[in-house]
Amino acid sequence: MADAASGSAADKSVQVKLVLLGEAAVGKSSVVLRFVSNEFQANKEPTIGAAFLTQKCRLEDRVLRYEIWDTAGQERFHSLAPMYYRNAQAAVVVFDVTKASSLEKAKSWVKELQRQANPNIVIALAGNKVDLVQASVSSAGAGSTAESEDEADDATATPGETPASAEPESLRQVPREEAQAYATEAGLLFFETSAKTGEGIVEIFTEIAKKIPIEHILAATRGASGRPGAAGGRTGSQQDAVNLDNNAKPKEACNC
Amino acid sequence: MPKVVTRLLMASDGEGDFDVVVLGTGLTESIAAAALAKAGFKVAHLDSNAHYGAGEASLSFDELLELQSQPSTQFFKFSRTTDVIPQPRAYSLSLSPSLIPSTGPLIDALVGSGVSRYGGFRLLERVCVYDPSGTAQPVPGSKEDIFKSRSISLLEKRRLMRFLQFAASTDALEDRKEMQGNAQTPFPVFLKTVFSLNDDMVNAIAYALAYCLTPNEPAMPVLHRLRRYLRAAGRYGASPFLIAHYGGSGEIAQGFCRTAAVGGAVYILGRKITNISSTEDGTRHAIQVEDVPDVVTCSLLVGGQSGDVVPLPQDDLAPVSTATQSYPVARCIAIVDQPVLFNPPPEPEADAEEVDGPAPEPTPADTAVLVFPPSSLPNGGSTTASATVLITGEGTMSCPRGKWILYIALPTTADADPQTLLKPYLDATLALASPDLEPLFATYYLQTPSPAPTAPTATPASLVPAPLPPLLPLPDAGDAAAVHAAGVYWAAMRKLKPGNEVDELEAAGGIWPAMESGDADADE
Repeated sequence: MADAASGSAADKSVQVKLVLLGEAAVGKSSVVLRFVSNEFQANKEPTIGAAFLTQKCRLEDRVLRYEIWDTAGQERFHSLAPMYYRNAQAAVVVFDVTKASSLEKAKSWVKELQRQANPNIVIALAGNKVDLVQASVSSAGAGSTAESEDEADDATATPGETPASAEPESLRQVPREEAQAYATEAGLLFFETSAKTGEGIVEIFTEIAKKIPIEHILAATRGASGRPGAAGGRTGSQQDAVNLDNNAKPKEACNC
Repeated sequence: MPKVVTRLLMASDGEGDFDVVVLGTGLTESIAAAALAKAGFKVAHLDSNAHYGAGEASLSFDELLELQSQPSTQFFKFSRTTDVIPQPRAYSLSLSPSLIPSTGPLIDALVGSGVSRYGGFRLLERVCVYDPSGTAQPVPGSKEDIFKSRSISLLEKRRLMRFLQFAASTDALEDRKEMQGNAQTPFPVFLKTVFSLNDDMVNAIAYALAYCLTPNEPAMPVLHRLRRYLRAAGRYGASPFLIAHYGGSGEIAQGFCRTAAVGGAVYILGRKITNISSTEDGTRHAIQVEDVPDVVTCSLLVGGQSGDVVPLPQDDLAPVSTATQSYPVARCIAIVDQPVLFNPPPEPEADAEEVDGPAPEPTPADTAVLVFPPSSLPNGGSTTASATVLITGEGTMSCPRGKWILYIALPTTADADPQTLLKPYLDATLALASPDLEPLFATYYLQTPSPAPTAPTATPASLVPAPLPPLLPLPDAGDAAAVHAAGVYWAAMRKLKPGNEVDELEAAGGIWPAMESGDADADE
């Protein structure tokens, strides 16, 4: 009953829960806002402070509907709830190419995902703020300012923001090859990204979409098996799950 | 890790200053924290446990063993059959197994706060009463059930209908002639004398429809409670009750905490509080947290041991606190790999043609409640209290496929031995499935109320929510927490915003601001 009302019959998109992880101020929120607003500006401003953001991603004949969860700052004291990882089919682990320690942090989040999350989770590593280390971007400082504004949540702000006079490539603390080697070894997708210029952003979500085992999710949805940890998650158990928002009006006392 | 913490807290001035610090992530505290954060206050939410939910947490198998390695004044007298089960992380085992009425304060809070979007819910499929003959009798909860039942005589059907009409009517109970002189009559006696119901019906109504814990509960508060349950039927399906995915209360608490975090609240879990001090006038508190060198300060402290106690809601939501005493509870959590209760096969369509092939089989119930009224267990059961068995299967996302979790609860005394008390109930439940069914795992323990707050020491800026009783009727724990949380929220508002404004706000309505529209449904 609940399911019939949810409109899923008309909407054949596959819902994919994607979680963001990474040290504070590496640009997690900015990466998502770039992805979501780039595609969707005409339609709707994303809501800041939302439970999660959604964005559709077209892939050949399929439509994925990403449900993107931000950490809401709960990563700061290692206090992320198990609910956060639950049924995530994809994760984007973000680090800052101008900050070596943020890659170490990213590696520990990858370990945490491998321990806590769905074993089939598709993980992408994003080396963000690459605009800061590209010679073509003359005023690197502006780039980082724009991004840190979006990090209001993580009010700690990026320490040691780029001095405008520095040589761009000298700011790089994580060589592309090093991150790529780690990603290959750990079986992760890897992109260098700039939330500011948009570089690599759409690509990362598209490549994730290609790697998501869609058939698996669809099967889980149909079977309504909803085994914990299996693909599917919210979608996987929809068959018998009750959507509380569907029926706002209680029937009058109906027992007699 | 401590290094990271240092850097974060010292990154800017004022980082450790908050309006409110909430201690403990139980459901009451988590709902209050979310409401305060949404109201725009700067909130820090602390829990010395590494897990969310405090005494109402949902734990993986290994987390449950970890909890049992350190008996507390709240959970103690642990025993268990084994330390090893397959797929230990695939379980969400609830410390506070409960049902959620489809209408009521918790559902309102879930929908009003948007937390409903994080969680999954499932209808309760089956309610049965244990019969001393060793069978489980389905409980007729609706008009339809009663008509269809073949085990109830026509006369008894009529009496039952009359009672349910009375219970669900919109008249004020206080005005009904049936209640004259009967408000304090024990509910089972009331059913027998006023409605002439037989013993089986009395048991089914008192313990499996109204979830009485003992035969002594007075009729009036029980009828108010039953009326709420009856009215909750039909909102999301036939049953009035929902079961939340992933172990219920603990998962819901996480949802409220996430909502608080989205609203800007800071979360620090798994670190002990080493010191709390207050300024002389009591208007500011400083909290020192293990491994966090900066002091967390706030103008209002919610939780802890001393301060102005926020009392439990004094209405029919907390019948145990108003009408009877708060019982210690003996609990058992068992895991089995066979279904115990079954749903009847679907009725053939009235106009359907004869279908060839085998008759449809009953299907295993994924969610069910089995009630043992007092004295229903011939050998060794309680004669003074009712035991409930809540069964949840893979559809509740709390265990792997082909497994079921059984939660047994029985009010008792603090000197009781939980295993001696509850093993006969577990055996009787398993015998419904097959005579030699052994659980993969079973643990027994006692639970008493979390330590009561000490008497108010008149710190003007700290609030202590009174602890909920460890055992409420199966559908009431979440609603009681939601009502209590609203009380805590308004008490906090009065401390934070002196003046009459808060009275007006409270008179105007709920604790949740209007939802931002469509944040989870951004497309099309």
